[in-house]
Amino acid sequence: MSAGGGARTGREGPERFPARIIYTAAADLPAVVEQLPSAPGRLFLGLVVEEQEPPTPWHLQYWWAEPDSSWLVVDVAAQDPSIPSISAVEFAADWPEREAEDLFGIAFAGHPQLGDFVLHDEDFGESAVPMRQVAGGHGTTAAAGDAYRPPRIVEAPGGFLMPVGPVFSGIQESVRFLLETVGEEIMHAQVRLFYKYRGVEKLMEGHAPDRALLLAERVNGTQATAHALAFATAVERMAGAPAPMRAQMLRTLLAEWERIRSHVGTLAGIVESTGLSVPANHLIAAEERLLQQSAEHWGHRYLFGLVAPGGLTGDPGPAALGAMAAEAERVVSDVLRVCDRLTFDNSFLDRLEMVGVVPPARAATLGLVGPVRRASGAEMDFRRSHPYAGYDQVPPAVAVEVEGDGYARFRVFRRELEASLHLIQQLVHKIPAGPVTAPCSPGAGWAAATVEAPSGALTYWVRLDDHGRIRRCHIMPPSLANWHGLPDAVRDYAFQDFPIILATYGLSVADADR
Amino acid sequence: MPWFWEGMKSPIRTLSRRRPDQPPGVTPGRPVATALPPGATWNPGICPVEALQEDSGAIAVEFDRCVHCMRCQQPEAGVAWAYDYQWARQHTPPLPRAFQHSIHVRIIDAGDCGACLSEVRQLTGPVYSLHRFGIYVTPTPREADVLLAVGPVTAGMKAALREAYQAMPTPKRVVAVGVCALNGGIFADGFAVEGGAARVVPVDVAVGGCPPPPLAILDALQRVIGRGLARSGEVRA
Amino acid sequence: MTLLFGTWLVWTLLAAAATAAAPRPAAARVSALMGAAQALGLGAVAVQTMQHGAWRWNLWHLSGWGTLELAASSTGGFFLLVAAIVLAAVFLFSPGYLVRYHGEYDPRPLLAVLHLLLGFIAIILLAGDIVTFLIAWEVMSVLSYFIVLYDQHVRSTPRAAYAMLGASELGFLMVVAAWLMLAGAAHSIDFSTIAAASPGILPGIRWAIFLLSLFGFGTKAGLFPAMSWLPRAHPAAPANASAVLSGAILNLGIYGIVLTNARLLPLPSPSAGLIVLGIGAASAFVGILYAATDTHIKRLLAHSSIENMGLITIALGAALTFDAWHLPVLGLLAWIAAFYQVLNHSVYKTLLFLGAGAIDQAAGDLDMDRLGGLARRLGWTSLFLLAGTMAIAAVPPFAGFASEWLILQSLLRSVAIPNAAVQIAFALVGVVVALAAGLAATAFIRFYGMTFLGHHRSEHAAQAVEVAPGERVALAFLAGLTLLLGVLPTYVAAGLAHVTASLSKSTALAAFVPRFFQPARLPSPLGAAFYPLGAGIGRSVMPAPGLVFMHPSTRLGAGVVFAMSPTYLVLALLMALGAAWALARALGRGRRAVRRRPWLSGARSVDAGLTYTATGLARPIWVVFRAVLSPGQTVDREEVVAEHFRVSIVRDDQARYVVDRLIVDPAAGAARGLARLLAKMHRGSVNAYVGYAFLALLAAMVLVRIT
Repeated sequence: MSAGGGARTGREGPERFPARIIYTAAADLPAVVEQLPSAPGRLFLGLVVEEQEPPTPWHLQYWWAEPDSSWLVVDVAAQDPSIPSISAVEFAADWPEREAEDLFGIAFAGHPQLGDFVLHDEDFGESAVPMRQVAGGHGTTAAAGDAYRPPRIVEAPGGFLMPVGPVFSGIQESVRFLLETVGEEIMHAQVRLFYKYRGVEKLMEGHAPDRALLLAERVNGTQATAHALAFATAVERMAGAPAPMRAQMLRTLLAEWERIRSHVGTLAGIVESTGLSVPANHLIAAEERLLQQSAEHWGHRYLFGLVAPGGLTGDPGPAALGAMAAEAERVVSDVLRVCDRLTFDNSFLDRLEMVGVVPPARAATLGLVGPVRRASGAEMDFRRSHPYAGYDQVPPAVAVEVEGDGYARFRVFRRELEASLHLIQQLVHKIPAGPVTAPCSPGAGWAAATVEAPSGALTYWVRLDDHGRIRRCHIMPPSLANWHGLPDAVRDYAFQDFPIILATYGLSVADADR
Repeated sequence: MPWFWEGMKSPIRTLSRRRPDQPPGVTPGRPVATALPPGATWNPGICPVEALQEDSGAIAVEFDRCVHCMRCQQPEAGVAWAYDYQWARQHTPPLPRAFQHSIHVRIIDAGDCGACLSEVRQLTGPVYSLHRFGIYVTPTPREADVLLAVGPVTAGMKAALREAYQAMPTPKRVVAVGVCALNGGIFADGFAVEGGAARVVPVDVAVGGCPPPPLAILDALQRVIGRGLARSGEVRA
Repeated sequence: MTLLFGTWLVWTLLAAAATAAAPRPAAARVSALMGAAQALGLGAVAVQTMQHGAWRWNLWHLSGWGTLELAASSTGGFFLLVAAIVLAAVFLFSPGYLVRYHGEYDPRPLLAVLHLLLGFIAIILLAGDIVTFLIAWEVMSVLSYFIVLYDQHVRSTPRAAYAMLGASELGFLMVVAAWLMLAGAAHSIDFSTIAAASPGILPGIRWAIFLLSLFGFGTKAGLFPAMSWLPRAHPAAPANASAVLSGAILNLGIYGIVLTNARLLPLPSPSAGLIVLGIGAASAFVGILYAATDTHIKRLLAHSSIENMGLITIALGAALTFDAWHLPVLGLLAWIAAFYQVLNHSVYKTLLFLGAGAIDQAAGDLDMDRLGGLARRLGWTSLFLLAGTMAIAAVPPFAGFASEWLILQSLLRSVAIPNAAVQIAFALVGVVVALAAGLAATAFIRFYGMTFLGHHRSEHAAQAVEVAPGERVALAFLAGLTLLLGVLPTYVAAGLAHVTASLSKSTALAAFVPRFFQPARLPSPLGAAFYPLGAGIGRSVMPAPGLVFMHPSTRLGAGVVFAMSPTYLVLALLMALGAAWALARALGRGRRAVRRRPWLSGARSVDAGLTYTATGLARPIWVVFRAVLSPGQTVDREEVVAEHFRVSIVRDDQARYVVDRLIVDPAAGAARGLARLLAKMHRGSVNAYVGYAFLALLAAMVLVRIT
């Protein structure tokens, strides 16, 4: 790769985290991004913004994970900087840039949609920059701005904007959809997230890692293990002290167990959205069975408080592991039986096939991750490409479908259940004896870790200060990337397809809102 | 139609009313007050949220603060755990008798992490089958008797929670589910977090835990209509 | 009678002259007063004519042709009454409404023409011979062209008016051709002589006359396939003129069809009735489809007029078919249904067109996508238009329900016709009528909801002001009539049976409107013994038709085929409402209602841009009938910035009216092609012309040889 402009390239980074680093000047950003290799698996992960000591108060890291971990570093001298937007050349950077603009007050020149994003204008003034630590720091619930008026782009006789949410009629997370239409088909969709923004990243600052871990687990409670694992792995990398082998393998088992539960929940959502209540309830009962087993063997229904920097807090022993494997097989085979019957149900297939189609090229442009991306033809799985925990011992089979429609996503979720069950069955026999925890006392520095959460690539970027406390933590959740891609998938489909497409995306609001 | 037979063929999954705690794992349990052995010292740092306090030779539990970090569940912590689910605390009288057999509940997600909402969703599933108690989830607060709030109440959802409460007809009750809805829980200090439903609407029944299991939420809803689940649950040291 | 009518004609001229001559500010009021008297006078003439029937007035004897004369019939009298009602409301409405055009146009010509128009309508309806009829018809056509042309500063108006005139002249020529054939065959221009002579006319000529006159009059009535002028012309006229066009002038086309087919030349063939039925069904279907999807109020009403004319024609077709099969009782049912629909349509369509004028005047807009919430601003108008909306949507107890119900029943009674093909045809048309009724309900719920309820979708809708008292009186008059026509349908049917007596072969109204205290077929001997006693007393107390439509089956022991009574329905409804009100009062004592903001799903605010539009509400219908309404004529243009961000989507729908697309355009194309071909033949070469002449000669010789 020939780096453009004043970019210089190196292979460095914190210990045990080799990657390609490109230093560049802000002005050259778009040109450099344009020259990044555009392999089919290229994936923009996120944008880390960090405040530094003068003379360069702003340190920005643009992260690409695939095909080759690389990040672009920009140091900016200005106090209130304006940086060229790269969203024209890397569309997936659209929301990360908007987020950085909203939280840090960094302008991204050339981005067409800045403003009201994470911080809704009616709750926080436009001038609030709560993530800044030096200038204008702390959370400012400034004077509320004007009532939000959704932007409208459709000019058609009789066109209107249909708002849905943030509170829905069922038991759903709070988010708002703004669907532009002339009736029936959706001409343009917008997703307004961050009604549930809790400021987790800000809350972590100043806490020791084991306290911040509680927050990481509760970013998305239904995928707590994945979050805890990413956080703990990052901290361990910084300390240079990996968890013991037994802990690594048990973590793998936990992560796969959680994947099974999460996917069963997603499948239940898909089936429920098509109105087939018998199979939906079947799957909901299966999910509850897994929750009960989690509490029975690990103490907590959502596996909170298990993964910690240094290893695991407990060890259930071989009998419990065998019981879990047996239970996983029982539940998964039950779920697979229901899924297989569904594939012969015309009323189910009619609502999923050729609905919400995202072609592979479009999925790559949008930077989709996880099962949704794999259903659009990409063999993208961090368990294989960047193994962590025990995945180098038990490489998983990656489920890929190419159609990119709702049914392809359904099949990916279904096939991943099988793959996860297979992994658990292998793991039970491969887990070595030994301790499950090792001392882990990281010093100052930063590290990052990406894991394949049930809904896709989840990255934690952590910076610790001299006291071993968190100075800045940035979470790049999979749901944010996939929410960004949702409007594209629902476009030109009818209203009644919308909940079904939404369900096949398996999205979590809490995950994206943080 | 094939699905109808499928449903008829599958076994009954609903928990028994008399022994709802029968399958293990319906509740994660919670720490309870424990007497310390004479002369023993106890490390208060084990609880990251100061829910456990040593008080004259015993460990007192302020369950409203507990976030289920599970650290005091380790045997070496020396704290007893109860595997019950009557976690709800009721601050006001229940709804009038007319509501005994049918109440309608509106759920507002005021910023939860997904776990509490998932437990509420399970409650309407076949295992807990909320409907058999005459409790229904209603789409609009206009028809709701009970407002069930989860999450620490973020800035974005504060107004929605208040509006939903105001839209409800009287008499009405508010159930705050999960430690976040009680006092903001782990998110209480956040700049975008109000810190508990009680800051916005009057809370009548509060059920702590992170998350409270479906049975605990069911217990809370039963208390709203002046009932409660059968007492059970064992204490394990 | 001649004296009365003569006086009325003089008054008509006076009214026109006085309106034209009055000072401009006073003209409208003068016109309203004189017009009200004019309509009242015409109403008196009409009622007299309907009750006492024929009167004649010889106008002018043409040697060699016959006598030009007025010869009143009860049918004509009925249409006169309808026209009088429509014009009475229009004259009352006009002074307040024409203020809208103040400073732009002079109201006097329009009003004077309306006075004259009513005069010529009366002459058409009373004409006793072909020449008088056609002369008055032509004058009426030209006068209606002028009233459409009134708002001529709007760019599309002249074209619309011209389209109407063109269609009208085309229809006129066909009618002239048909009637000249008729007169030639009957050797007379006098209607009664023709009627007497018509059975002897050759079948081929009869069919030619039937088809030509049906198409000719159908053009004036806005029937398939010559209706594409109507949704352009009626909305272009000022609202009071639109009301006259839809409420009175369209009826003339129906009158022409009735006159030709029932009086002058009754075709004994059932096929004729089926053709009429088919044309009616096509008109009703296309009309209601467009009414259900258009968002411009006046265009919506114009399309709905096509639908209603279709329904009337369907009933006419059924009546002709029943008569041809010698089923007089069912024929009477269909005749009454047709005339009832004429009356209802004129009343509620006038109400709605005048209401549209009030909306236009109050809010300055007629596009429902930009209206909304007007009920809060226009209390009375919205109330009266609610009556009109319910009537046109055929919701009991308003006008529209009873007549549409009768139409549907008469179609269902086709089981009495012993011919499977006819039964299938009737069943299919019945499906169309049912579909039209359903779509009409959605179309007008949409009209009322999108215009009067919900949010204001524009600033001018938010600023609307209630219209003048005179206008409200006109609307109230018509709204009251729709209620009356809906609540007492059996009385209306009794009156109509009198009118159709000369057309139908039966006057046996009692066959489906039993009198009060009719002894029913009672099973118990006790009841049978006592019933006549009570009935006898009751009948002497209430010597009127009953309040129930009821038709006993022709087959023995099969019981009642249908029964319906909006009157009792209203009574029951009122009692139920009273009971509910009393109950609510009793239960609600001591409780107070609290008003809260609407629940917005947790959103802070909702504005008009976030609510359904009329287009959006009609979208499902549009999607289902896309093949008819707009096949592949939607174009989206997108604008994208920074490679990926869509910042605008502009949608264009260049849908073309289905009749234009499928019939008028190809016909026009063919005509142009033919003209081009003919033009090519004229190349100026002498040799070519010699060749043409030779070919023509050859062709003529061959023709002569064959015949």
